[in-house]
Amino acid sequence: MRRQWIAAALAVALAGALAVPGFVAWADTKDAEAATLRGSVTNEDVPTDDTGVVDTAARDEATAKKDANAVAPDVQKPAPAPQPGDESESPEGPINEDVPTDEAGVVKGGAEDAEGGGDGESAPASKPARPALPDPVFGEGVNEDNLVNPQQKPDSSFIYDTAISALQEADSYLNNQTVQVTGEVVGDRIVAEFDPGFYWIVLQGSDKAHSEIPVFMAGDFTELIDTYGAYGRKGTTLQVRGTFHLTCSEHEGLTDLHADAVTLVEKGSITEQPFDIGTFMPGLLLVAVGFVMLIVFHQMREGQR
Amino acid sequence: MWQRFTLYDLRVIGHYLGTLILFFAVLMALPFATAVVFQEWEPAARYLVAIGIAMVAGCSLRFLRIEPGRLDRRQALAVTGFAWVVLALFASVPLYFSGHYFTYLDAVFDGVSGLTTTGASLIVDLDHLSYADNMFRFAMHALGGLGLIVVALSFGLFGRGGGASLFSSEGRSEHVVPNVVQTTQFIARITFIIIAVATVIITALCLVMGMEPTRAFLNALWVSTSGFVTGGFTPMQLSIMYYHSFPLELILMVLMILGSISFVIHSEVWKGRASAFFKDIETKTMLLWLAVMAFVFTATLASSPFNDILAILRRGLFMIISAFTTTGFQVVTTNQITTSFSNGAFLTLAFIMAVGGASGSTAGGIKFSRMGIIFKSIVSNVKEALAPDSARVVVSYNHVGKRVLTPEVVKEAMTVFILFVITYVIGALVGIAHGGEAIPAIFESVAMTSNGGIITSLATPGMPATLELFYIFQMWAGRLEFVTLLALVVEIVASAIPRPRPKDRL
Repeated sequence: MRRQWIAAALAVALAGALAVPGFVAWADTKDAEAATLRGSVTNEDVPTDDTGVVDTAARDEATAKKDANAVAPDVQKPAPAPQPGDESESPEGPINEDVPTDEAGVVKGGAEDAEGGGDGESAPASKPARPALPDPVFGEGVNEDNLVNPQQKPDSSFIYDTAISALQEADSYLNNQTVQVTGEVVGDRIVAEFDPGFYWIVLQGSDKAHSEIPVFMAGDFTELIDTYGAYGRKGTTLQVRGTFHLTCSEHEGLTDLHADAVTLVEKGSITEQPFDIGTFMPGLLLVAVGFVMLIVFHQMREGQR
Repeated sequence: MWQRFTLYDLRVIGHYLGTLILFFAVLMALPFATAVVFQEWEPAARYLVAIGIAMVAGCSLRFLRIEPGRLDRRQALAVTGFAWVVLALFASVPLYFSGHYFTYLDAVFDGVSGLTTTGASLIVDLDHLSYADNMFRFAMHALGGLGLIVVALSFGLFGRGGGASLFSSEGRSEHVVPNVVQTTQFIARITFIIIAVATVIITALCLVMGMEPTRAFLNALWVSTSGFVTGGFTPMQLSIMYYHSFPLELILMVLMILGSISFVIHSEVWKGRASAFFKDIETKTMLLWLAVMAFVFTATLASSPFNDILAILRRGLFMIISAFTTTGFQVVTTNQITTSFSNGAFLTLAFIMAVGGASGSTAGGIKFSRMGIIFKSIVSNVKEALAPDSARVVVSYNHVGKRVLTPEVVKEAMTVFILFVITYVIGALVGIAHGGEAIPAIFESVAMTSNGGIITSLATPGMPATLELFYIFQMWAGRLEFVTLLALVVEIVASAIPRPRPKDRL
């Protein structure tokens, strides 16, 4: 009975010690997190318009108000370790809400440096440093220049990485589109008759049918070509990016590819064919037999006359 | 009722076929020499083997009859009919072993296409083909365009026997000069001169374009040959689009038109009688036909991406000329024909190919003379319907001199016209049966039978063997203009059927 009373007293003393702030370090974390969360911006705080799209201007304003009411200034998470190429970042590390964006929500590169120069929307000198949350995908190394804005509108700058065989069978959907193809240069460099400084080359694909496409390119690009494909010669392999025309209006309806960028993939090569008398022996034998038969035939015809 | 081939007939036919095969072996010396000059040792060895095979086979056939004697009409029909296919079989040997064909039948197809000057090709990776193989392809075009028999007669290969029979059985009904051998020599001479002049001009153009001198000369020689004999083979896979040269396209248009004019008219113009060209029924039919079809073609292109006036003038006009001369050169891709051209433009090109060029020329198709005669026959029938019963209606036409329209002439024209149309239809049905769309099937069938050669989506490397065999038959039949081939088939069938036993008499 006496021992039970002593054990109970010890338990009460222990509980009291834990309840005192600062007595045990890890006991303070929950309060600190709670304090941090109390001051952070949550989804409910982010203003949106009627369609649910983030209103960036209103959002930044709300963020500034929250910063003014932020608590626990002495609680700071250590700044993330600087990543290579991230020299322009502040030691504390910017977070999404601090990154300036344009009307479409796309991150403005370099604008964050101007922000510190007098942007009225945020006051980095007055507001406490925000703890940088680690990115769930990329961890501690987040580059604000590479942030994706899911609200960005699509544009028409899509490049079709395709094959020459697809261009040979292309329908109107590929007309006037930017495409990128790789192929072997064959034939000759033909001077473009009405465009000084431009040339025509032919690019051949590696498909079964060896599809081809004529490419219209500037003279500078043709300097990359060291070999033109022909019998016994493998031409230079180029990667060409440019605009595909099913019926080119500049070239009287020709199907062609106007090159914007040309990259050397592989240099050409020449295959030497050594002379080997052995390969001629079967033919020589057959021709000899043929001549013998001719002579015999003429002898027989002369004999009959 | 039907005469049969006897054993003697078969031996004579075999002898003359052997003579032609030996001549073909001599022709193969040209690609062999080309291979040696350019140090293409693998093609050189290949052509030496092909020459040896042709020599042995030709000599073996000649042994069937040491002294063959004079060819009669039925034997001449058989020699002419078989020559095209037999020589194509020997041509396919070096072509197949070049490694540029998926199957042996594809090589046979190209052999037949080259000799019949159809110009449709199933070759793969043409831009990496050796100079020797290309020289052989265009040599076949030259031989076939002039006519196998024409060339053989001009060299006196058949001696003094059966020249006239052979000449007419190859579909040549017109003698430039009374003597057949002189006619064939004239045709060969005029061809040589025109091709030589065109080669010089086009070589200069290719040098200006930036090609190397050797490639410029060879490309010029090959496209000139192909253009004048209205063949259609080209040394580069992109056809005439490869050269991106309007002057070259202009020269080729002139060459194709010259090749589609009768050699009889060439002879008249050569002698200073240019009016014979303008008065001829074929010239009038050609101008009227081309005017109407050009208008229709332009109208059908109005709703397509080719509605630009420059595109129509440059590409549309070239395709019309390539189609009516049954050459087969292309300045638009096969994909553009099937996607950018409207169905109307597609079919218009097919109609133009179907009619073809002038008789007595290198062109194929039904021919302008037959179309003109059929039209004159309609006029004659209308006149007879309107004239009194006692009146005698005489309709005349001008074809190297004034001629009277007789029932025999009309019968011949109508027979060949109907046979062409039936073959076009059957060929289209065969194409459809192999899974092709209707309009491409019609187009392809017309291209094969008229030896036009502009192909779209059906005639591709590795196509079904049955379709390929039928297209080979169509090219062969179109080149012989049916009558020779039908007569040959009837003779063979009649010869194969056993003779009925005479009844025993008591």
